[in-house]
Amino acid sequence: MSKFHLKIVTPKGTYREVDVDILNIKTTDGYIGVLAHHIPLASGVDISEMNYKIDGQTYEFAIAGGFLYVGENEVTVIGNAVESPEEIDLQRAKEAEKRAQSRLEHPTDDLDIKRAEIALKKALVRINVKGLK
Amino acid sequence: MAGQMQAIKRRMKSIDSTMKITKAMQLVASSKLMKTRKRLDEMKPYYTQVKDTCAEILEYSGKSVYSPYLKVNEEGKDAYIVITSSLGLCGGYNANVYKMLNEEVKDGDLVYMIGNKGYAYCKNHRNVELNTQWIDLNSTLEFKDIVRMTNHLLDEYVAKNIKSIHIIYTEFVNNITFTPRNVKLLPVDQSDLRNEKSTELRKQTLFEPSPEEVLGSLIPMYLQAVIYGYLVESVTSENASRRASMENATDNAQELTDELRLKYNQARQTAITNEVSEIVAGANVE
Repeated sequence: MSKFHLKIVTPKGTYREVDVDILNIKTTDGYIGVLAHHIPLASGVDISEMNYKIDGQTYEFAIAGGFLYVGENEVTVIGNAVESPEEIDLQRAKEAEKRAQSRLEHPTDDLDIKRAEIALKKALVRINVKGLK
Repeated sequence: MAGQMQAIKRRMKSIDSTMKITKAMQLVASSKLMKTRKRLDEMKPYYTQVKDTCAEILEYSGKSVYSPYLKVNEEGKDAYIVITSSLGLCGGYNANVYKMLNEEVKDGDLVYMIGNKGYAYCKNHRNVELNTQWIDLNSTLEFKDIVRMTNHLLDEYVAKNIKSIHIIYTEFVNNITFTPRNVKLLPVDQSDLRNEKSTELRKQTLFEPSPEEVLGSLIPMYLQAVIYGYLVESVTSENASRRASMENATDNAQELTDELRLKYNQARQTAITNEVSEIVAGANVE
């Protein structure tokens, strides 16, 4: 299988720069798999799980939203925050989930709900990815 | 004679204590500089990547794409984000920003001030509308607050309350050179982002779900990245400037104490010589 170059950058610097076989990622339109020689594509990335494969080995990540750009045999993922299962703090994610849930049960105003929903989504994705390991 | 010696001694003491302060500040500024420089280096790949991607997409999406962020507003105010320091003793850092500010900002413009020094200056010397909601950003460096600020600015822009957004920050060239710059953020200047390596294939770039929506989410991200990058760069310049000026102050204080010590020793020697010759003169009389 031919590989392509994948670059993941976050506000904390270049997170990963590797040659991969396939990248599975959830865009705002739904899950897609990117293989080598993909047509140029630009899309937003949802708060979701993300993974890529190198020689049969799968690497899982949690991504807190961002942007995907597929160029000529180079793919760039710009993430607000990207974490591997090893980096995820399960305790913190569970606390965040509880906090968000209690906020959703006792909403105060409009903006609060939106933010709590996003926080809940991020927490759930993190817990999920941690569990995948 | 003794009075003169005492005066010199007193001055030496006061210069010594000042030197202790400047030396301590120099050390603090160096360690802060190292921290912010590291942050800047980490940040760089992110914001150049976001900028490049934004440039490519704008180019391949063509002129036909509609986005409220690309449209030029006819009405509204000019908004400026100005980054200054909150603490003094950092050399010409703030003065250079004020110079830029006086050249660019007209009376009545909206100024989003970061840093207490700039706030005090504008309040006393300029007739501009000041917004101090994010005045502490230069010490907290919170990305969350940048997101909030960007959202606020974009809302104001879409609502046509402001017609352009500029940022005045201090570029970090190296440890001793900093230049204030004024950059236009919105409306996005497409010629500013252009790059030449366009190919036929890339012109068929797929946008999911649509170019409008892709740009709608990319442009806020671009602004956040750029504003954050400029903020970290300015704070790096501030710390470098403070370190340099404190180093100069310490050097000058050292020079001054050396000079005074020489004077003091001279005065002491003169006093001893006088005393000896008085004793000798007294002995000769007998």
